[in-house]
Amino acid sequence: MNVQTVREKVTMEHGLLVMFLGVAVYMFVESYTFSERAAAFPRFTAGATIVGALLLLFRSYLPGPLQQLVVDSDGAFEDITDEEVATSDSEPSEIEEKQESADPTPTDDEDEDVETRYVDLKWISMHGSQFTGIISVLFVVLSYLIGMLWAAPLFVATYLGVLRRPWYIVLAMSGIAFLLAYSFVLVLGIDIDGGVVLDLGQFL
Amino acid sequence: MIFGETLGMFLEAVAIAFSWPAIGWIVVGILVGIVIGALPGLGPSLGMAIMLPLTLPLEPVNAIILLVSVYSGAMYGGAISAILMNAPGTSAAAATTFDGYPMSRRGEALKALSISATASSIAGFFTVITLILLSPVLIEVVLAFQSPEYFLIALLGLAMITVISKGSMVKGLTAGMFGLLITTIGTTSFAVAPRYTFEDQMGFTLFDGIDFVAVLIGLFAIAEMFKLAGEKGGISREKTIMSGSVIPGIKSVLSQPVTLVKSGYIGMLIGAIPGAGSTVSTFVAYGESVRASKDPETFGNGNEVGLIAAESSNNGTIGGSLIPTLSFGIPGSAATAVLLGGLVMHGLRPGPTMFSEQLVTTYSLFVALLIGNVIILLVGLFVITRTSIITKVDTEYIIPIIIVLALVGAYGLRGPSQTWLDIWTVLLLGGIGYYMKMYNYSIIAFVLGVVLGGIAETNLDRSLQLSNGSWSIFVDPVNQPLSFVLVLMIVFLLVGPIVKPHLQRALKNR
Repeated sequence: MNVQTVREKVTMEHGLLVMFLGVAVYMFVESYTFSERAAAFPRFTAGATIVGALLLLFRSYLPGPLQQLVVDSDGAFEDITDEEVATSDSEPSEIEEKQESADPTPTDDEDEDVETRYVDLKWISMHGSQFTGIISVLFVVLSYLIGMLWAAPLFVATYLGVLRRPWYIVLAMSGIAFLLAYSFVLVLGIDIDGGVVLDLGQFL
Repeated sequence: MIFGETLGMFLEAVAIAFSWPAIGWIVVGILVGIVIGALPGLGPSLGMAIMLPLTLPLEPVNAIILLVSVYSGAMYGGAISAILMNAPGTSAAAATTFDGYPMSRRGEALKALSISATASSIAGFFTVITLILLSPVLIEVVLAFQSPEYFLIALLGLAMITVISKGSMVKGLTAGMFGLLITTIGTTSFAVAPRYTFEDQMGFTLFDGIDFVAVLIGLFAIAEMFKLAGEKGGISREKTIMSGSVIPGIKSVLSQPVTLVKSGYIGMLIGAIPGAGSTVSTFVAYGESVRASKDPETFGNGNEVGLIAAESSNNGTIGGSLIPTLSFGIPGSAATAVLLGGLVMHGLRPGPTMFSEQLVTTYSLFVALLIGNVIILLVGLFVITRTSIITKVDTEYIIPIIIVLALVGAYGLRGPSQTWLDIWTVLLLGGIGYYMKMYNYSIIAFVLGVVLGGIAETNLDRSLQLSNGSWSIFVDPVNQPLSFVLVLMIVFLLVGPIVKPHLQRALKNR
């Protein structure tokens, strides 16, 4: 197997599992420095996490019966739901069509096949989630520097500006972000009007 | 507990729920919930997660009333965009589109919306009444559980969720165990020594551990926004025509009592199964109404019975999902996982105390749901029919606002020394949650681990103290029969998938 094949086969799921494994191994080993009483629970949970992560990482090499445990299913109710709808309808295809035509917006526990959104940054096209992740990190860094109250409208303006939204909507949404952040200041009394380099709290 | 005492507590709860400011929080919660539910891409769990920090200054009972009202409102709100735009605000409202949207298309949007409001509120009402009537039985069952059983019930809950939810069982268990594992960071209530706190690098920052509310916000708000940001869709361009009338919708629901009651209870029963949730219950109830119908071919083309079935089971799920949440601390859905987080955050422990010392709070919550259903009916009939604009909000505008709300909310969770820890936790868990969703790792199992970690560890410690450190306390059929049964159930759930194909093959060969 050459480097390119390995690179093609490695997904972010492997990264997730290696993270689970790394954290669990560290916590398992470290638990031996605690008293027996304090170590029981972390050792038990870390041990179980290690076993699970290893089974998932090496799933292609597992024997048949163990494969059953690592193969993805649609959930125990998926079959029942489909069956109930299909068998009870004289024209099952109609229901299926309806299920397809319905455009459920993704929420807690569903995973519909939807088109991927890319953000065009002139010099590079970026996956929407990746862009949101990066800009969120920058928002937190900016909040640390100038305070979250002022960083919030800047974040919203940048986000919507990059997506080329009309300027008046960008302005309105930035104002809403500021007001929402300020409402948290009023309700929770949090100190978000200044950062380490700039303290604009005096202007409030 | 004698009947008179229970009745007294119930009446006290009624007085609390109708007093100020509790009644105000019910109204606020329902309205916020309806808007959140109606907005495309947002669901009850996200709405409750971003509301959690705002409940910090509230009395525990008011905080829980607010959260449960948001839950109830959002469950109903999801139907609005399903009916008007064919884009369900929540996954639970997907079945509502089958007949709700065709009704809108043929000029009966107002009728469909009033059917939705009436069916949701009536089913929500009688399922909560059933829950109140069932509570004395629940109290007896819950009081039979002790420390070993509570530790095992947490594991059983994880096992059940991993079997029921999408993805492989090992993925769910690994996610749940990892959730439990990260709760071991910091000091425990029974051992003075801190664990995994990196004092040399981080001082005392990690002594109080990772805040589970930050984890909830990360998993339900940030991860969801990351996911939404990567999907095309945004706003539906369908034109909404608000035509038809309200009264025939109410009459239509009242003329279908069997469908209403049956679907409401289907919702309640399925809602009580950990991990199953309202998405499943609405499809099952819809399927059952098609099966029982004399003209099944009309379903999917705007049959009112289909809409009644989907909507009544949707809100019926709420009462059901509260049973395992309050009794054993095992959430029936993602939204109740957040509610569980709210309970723990305000010092309320799910389990026996919710049905003994905290029974008034528990009843207040039920009464709040009853009042909430009346508000849903009124808002649904007289307000929503005039405010279809909320379904037209573009997801691109929602994403940065939710991220701001989530991160500003995280800022206020704990003292200044942990502020940035909580904010980075929210972002990091948002990223982890995004990939977990992408690869079918159960988020509910992970959340269950994080929320129940402290309780599970305390109960494990107590159990081991009782048995002088022997793990045999969990498998002693003579002295701990309930624990033994729970262990058998866990083993059955975990080993079942391995044994099942062999059994099937053996039976076929006979």
